[in-house]
Amino acid sequence: MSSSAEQDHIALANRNHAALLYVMDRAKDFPEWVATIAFYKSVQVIEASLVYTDKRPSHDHRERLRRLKNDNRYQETFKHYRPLFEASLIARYLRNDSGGGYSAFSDFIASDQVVNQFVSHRLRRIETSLCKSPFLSKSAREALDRVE
Amino acid sequence: MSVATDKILQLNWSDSDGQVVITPEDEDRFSLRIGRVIKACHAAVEEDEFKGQFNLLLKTLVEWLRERRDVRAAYVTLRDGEFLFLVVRNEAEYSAEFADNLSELDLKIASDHDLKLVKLDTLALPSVSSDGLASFMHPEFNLILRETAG
Repeated sequence: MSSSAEQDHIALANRNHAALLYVMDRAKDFPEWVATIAFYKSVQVIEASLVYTDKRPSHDHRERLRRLKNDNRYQETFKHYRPLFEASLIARYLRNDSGGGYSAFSDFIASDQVVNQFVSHRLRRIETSLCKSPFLSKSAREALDRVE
Repeated sequence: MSVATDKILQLNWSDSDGQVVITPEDEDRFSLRIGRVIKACHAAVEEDEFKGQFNLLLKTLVEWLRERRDVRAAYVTLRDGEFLFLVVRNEAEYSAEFADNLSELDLKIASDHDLKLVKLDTLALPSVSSDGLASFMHPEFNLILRETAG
């Protein structure tokens, strides 16, 4: 896998980052999209790292989860990726109903907490764990727009 | 649309003097369903070894559950051809601590050499009705882990 594949994933991560900044300003209206875009940005950063370290991408979410948890180097990444993946599944697929305690994503996490928990904590920890050798090349680390 | 109750097989577990005992409510159906999963997803593996590892997996999950009072229901289902430990919490509100605990359990199982054949992912949902749960359950294979008196 060429280093351009790594850069391609970084470029996609940066597109997600720009979208994330946009919805973060409207987190009150779109908390589910804050969690979802944070998750998809993490996917791109992780894929950039996997193609850099292992020279091949993941085919799907299942394979990515498997590779992260089975490789000791990626366990810190996995610890934060799994809850982010989980939050995005809840955001996208958990149906609103009236029978349980959950009726909307804002019941799961308040809009003033969604940025703190899923961007400032989970996504940032993923980026911090990968923005060092040997997980990303120097040029990829420099090119990545990171969570502040 | 909820999952039909005849698609959910109950596994009773109890804690007797520190020993976890797991008993399928219907042993025959339990064996049949596990046999089907092995055929569908793990055709190449040795059936007895797989069943042994699956039973050890159930014990590991119950060991984790018995320490918790914040879980309303726990299932083992299938997603994308692999097992999914699906936990429904008591609360609707996100808990970072709970999410971290579940990640640690996931990593523990993934790194256990004695559980090498059984691939498992984990997922916690907020308190939700059975209708809301349906899209996360497999249409055919669902086990519920239920505590009974020891």
